[in-house]
Amino acid sequence: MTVTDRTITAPEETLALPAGPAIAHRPLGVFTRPQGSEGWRSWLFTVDHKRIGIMYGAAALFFFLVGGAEALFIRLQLATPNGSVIGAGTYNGVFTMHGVTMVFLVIMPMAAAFANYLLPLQVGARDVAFPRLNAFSFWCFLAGGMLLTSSILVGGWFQNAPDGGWFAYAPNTGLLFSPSKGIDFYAVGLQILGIASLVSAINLIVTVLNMRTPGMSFFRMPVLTWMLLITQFLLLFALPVITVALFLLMFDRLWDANFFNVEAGADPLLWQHLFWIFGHPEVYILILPAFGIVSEIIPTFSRKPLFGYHFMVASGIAIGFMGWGVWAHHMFTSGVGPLSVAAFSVSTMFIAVPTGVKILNWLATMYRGRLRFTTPMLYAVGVVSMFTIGGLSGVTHSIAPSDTQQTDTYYIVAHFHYVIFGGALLGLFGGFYYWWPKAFGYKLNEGWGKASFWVMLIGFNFTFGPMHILGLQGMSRRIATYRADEGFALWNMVATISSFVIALGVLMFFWNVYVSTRNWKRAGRPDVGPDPWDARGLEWMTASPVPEHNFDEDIEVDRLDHFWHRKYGKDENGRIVRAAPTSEIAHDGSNTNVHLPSPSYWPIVLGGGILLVGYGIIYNLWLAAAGLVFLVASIYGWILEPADDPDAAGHHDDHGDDHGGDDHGDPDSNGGPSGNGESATADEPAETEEATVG
Amino acid sequence: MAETMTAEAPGHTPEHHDGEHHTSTGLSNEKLAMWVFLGSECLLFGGLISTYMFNKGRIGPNDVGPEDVFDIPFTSVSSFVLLMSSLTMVFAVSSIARGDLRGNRIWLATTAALGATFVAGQVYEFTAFYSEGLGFTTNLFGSAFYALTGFHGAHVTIGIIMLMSLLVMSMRGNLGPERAETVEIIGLYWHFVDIVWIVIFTIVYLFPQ
Amino acid sequence: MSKRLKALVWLTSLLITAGTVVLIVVSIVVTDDHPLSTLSPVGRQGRDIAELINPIFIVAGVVFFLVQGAVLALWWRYRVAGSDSGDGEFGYYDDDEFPEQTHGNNRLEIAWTIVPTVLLAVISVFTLVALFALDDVKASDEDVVVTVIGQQWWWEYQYHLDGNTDSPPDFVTANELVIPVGVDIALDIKSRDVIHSFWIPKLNGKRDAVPGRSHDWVIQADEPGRFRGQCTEFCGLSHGYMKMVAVALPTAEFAQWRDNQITSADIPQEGTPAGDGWATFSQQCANCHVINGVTSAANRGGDPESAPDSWDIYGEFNGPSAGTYTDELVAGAAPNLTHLMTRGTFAGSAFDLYLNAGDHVPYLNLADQATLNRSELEAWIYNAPERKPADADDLRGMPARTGLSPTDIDNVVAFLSTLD
Repeated sequence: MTVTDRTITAPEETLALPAGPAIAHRPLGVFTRPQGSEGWRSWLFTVDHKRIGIMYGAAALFFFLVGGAEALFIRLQLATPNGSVIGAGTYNGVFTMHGVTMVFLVIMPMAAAFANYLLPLQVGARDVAFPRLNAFSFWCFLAGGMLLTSSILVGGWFQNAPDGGWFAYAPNTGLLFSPSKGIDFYAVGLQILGIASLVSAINLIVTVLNMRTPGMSFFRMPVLTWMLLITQFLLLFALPVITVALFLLMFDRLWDANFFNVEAGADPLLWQHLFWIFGHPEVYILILPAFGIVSEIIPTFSRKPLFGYHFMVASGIAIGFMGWGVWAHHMFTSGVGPLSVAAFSVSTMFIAVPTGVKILNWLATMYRGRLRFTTPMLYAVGVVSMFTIGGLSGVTHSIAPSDTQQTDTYYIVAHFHYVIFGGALLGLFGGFYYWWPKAFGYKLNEGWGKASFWVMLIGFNFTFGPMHILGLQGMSRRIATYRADEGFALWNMVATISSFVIALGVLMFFWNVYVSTRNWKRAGRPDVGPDPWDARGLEWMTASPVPEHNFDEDIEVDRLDHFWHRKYGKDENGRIVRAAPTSEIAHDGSNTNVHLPSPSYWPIVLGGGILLVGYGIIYNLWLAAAGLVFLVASIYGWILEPADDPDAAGHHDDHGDDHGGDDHGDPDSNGGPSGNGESATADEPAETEEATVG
Repeated sequence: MAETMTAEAPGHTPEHHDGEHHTSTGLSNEKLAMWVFLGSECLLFGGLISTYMFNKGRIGPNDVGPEDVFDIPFTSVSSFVLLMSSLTMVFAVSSIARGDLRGNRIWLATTAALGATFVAGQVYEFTAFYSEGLGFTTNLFGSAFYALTGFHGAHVTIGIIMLMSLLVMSMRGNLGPERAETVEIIGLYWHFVDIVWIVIFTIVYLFPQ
Repeated sequence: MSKRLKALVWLTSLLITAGTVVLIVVSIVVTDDHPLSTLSPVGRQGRDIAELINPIFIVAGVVFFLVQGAVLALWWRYRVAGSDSGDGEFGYYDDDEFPEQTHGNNRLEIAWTIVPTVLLAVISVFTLVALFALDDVKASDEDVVVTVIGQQWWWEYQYHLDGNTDSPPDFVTANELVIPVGVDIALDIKSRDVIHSFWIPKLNGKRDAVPGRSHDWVIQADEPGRFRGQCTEFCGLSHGYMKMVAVALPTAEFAQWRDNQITSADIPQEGTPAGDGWATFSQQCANCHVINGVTSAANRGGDPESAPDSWDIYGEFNGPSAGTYTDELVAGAAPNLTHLMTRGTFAGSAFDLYLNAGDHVPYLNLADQATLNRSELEAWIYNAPERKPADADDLRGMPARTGLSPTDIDNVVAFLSTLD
């Protein structure tokens, strides 16, 4: 396939339309697009899905340190009976922020990092469907994350931190019972994060549905793509529900509405229903990306294709659907009535089936494989092993009568840490090790990686394993301390000591990043090659780090694991042999004629506007009004900004919606990384909507 | 939306503009995004309507309730106005597809005007209810009613702003037949908002019990 | 090491690990003497739950060992040597050998979909049977019904000896729920402010106390004893200190206790320390605390005409007509202290009222006053929020620094000691 460039001819024809193209190009004179791809500015204004993905990852790791520090404070407070390290008031803020941070600011954005970086690559697209919106999602996420995290500091240490638990049950979160600004930070922060995730979900869904490279039918998509797609659909439908709940809470707190005012006849269970209709799919939003990552890593290091691909996809979809029918298992003791309890108890039990299918398929993939226990493989197998524990304890509390003993005890804390830490987080860390060379061009050190894994795994099991025991021995969740004669001292001390072992393991990961980077630079930045692991997905079919334009040309996919099948074939004896060296198959990133969307100021400006509105809602509605005006102005600025930058040099001029004038040689090919660029048309309603809502 | 005009300005032959090409599904990214977004909106209104249903009866015997304030004939008329705006939206879409720019402007303006009439009716209605003693904070019915219909009103208002923006674009000559899909996509949003109102009108006004 | 020896080492360490896990679990279950443990139930409901879940724990344990065993076996059996740095000619592998490229096996997939489904279906049948049996909590009409009311951060118990919760309770007590041994006691669980959860692990699972709602629950104890509990729904600042105790007494002793609780207290003689303590109490404490026969509506700072008695001030929060909900839900509602000395704990059961007292001695007013936990009680009266976080400015909990002198406090304690 030769690469031609046909869009160069376009500018003359700009005049074809009757009125004001000049005005539209630069209507107010300030809309010069940012230029260049070097330096920190290029990161602030980038619309490149890979850079956005990296920024998501970096932000998530930063928040991981914050949430981890909070976890250590929790463990210090609980290390001994009658603990007084931070005291009950601060403790309530710390455990709330720990939960909120880890769920919304660590696991979700880490998954978003992989989704942003990998989805377009795995389906062979040049970028996401709406690159500027994608940048906006990130800045909006960061605005929400900063707003939430700032609650720790404003007005004194943990004075205004949310203190109602991540689940924020009404009426404890009402103004009467939580008079600080904490719950306002919670409600506004989560709304902003919701906008970010919703925009991102729409963007990524359209990307996967619409921008697959020729031949990439749904059942040729990698399992990670599938799991991320399902995750985006869960976000799409779950977020509006929590949005409603948060609005009701905000209205109650700010404007005296009655939604959770028991005196006015309200039933606090409304909050619980709304929260958990969101909250349970949220659990799958956290875990499915990790399932996808594990499904990529295990085949690579088993030298076998994934066992039961279709069943893996189907079980993911089944989890996605069934995840909507189990929310009330969080409410077995809330008084929802025996029939509801029975129905949700049974539905919850059966969601274990598709999850079990996944575990068994991973094991079957390893069966008779040639297993190489590299660091990513260790993490992936760690997920299989640890998640199984979380899954089994999950089944035990689907048994509603027994859940009345277990719920809100440390048994639950143990359970969901095995799921979210042992499942999601280990998977995501495995993903870091696995795709690090793809993103940065060098591998993380294996020795440090393995050491860090084992330290983390041991620390993890001795932190959360004992919590099963504590829970069954009757230790409640969210208690700031416990009496000496309740017999919880031993295992709490074990858990506290082990939590610092986890912290050590995490520090070893950061140290590994530092050491590996340093060594790579000292060695003269050797090229790791496009496919360092001998892997299977399309993302390995281009240079590392991935060039800005992803692929030099369209890839015509002819089957699942297309790249692997280009590399390997069978000889006459049916033995698998190299068909071609990777260097011949993979793109080297030398095609500089591919047209890319131009960087833009507006995404970050809009993110700033949202931050302003957020603080305004919490502190002063005039500030919010000013922020809203700023926001609307920014939206119009965004809309008036040409998606093409006529001033941009070289290949940076965008091709906007010129689907036909695509960068790739084959005008008859349909689909693929054709130049969809972005257009404000479709962005606009969504945007305006969100802005107003936000 | 001016952007889209410039973005697409470079020499597009018609087949590039119907958005039917070069995507895996055949739908343009923008249209697909709108459909996906509306899917999410269904859950937003689903949540709000559920909240309303859950709470409307939770008032005391002497509280202001639905029967005390609703003026069904009035709201029926404004609902009819909103429904008609869907019809005029269809005309707006079809006129621009035909290249009838003047007709397109007329229909866009009509749709926006009908929408504005509906919103004005809602403002009047809120004022009347308030004077009859039903405020946002009065009771659960009040909170839930104003939250639900207020959210819907905000959606209509955003729709009007988008229609007006299209109108301005058209006046400036930036909205030609090649932009038909833009109008169509905003039309999708408009129809969705109308359909939601039919549901709300039925549930809130016609079956207050 | 030879391959064989290596395998032996692996297997041995595996068995040791598995054995240790089993040993720890077994020892925890067998030697369980934790006061809040769910593992050694003493009541019918708790036992039903344990009998339901214990076999499932075992099934889960088997699956656990199968899966972890499979992971380790696959690890052991199929791992291959290679280049750890990935720099070899074949990357991480030593050679270009590929295993058989199996893509799946539909029969296997269907099997491992159906087998767990059937297993879970069986479990669900047992679950549903147990669930509906446990939910059948209707006590007979004549039995005692206790209205359990949670509030920040203690529990109130209103005893309806005739089982009729529509009438005023026969007496009101706090934090320690005393029940006769061997019979089902129906509870009617409510809340005055936020959501709490009532949980005596040895007797039954938990049930939330939700404001505006009334939840039926039932507990029963097989044998006499003190059974500890803890509020298990996060309820704000002092959630961790919101505890409770269920005390099961033999039938005769329960009757004795009940007859005592019905009686009112007497105003102590003037001039005695207790009398002075009463004077202080009536000025400072009686605004919130009720002592039947001693405090009056007037003490509560209200108009005696309109001030409700100790029963209906808390109202039924079934609708907006409840009226005084906001006023009452954080202020005024403080534990009824009429028979304080017959309780083993105070301040939401966060502290022991007696040190080294026998199991159920206080309940029959047989506790030796010498074992009174005087220092804790005095510290509590002096500055309660220091002992247990509270926020009296927001009308939640005892105020900080009541301004009482040591003598005042001694006198108040002397007065409280008469409340038996």
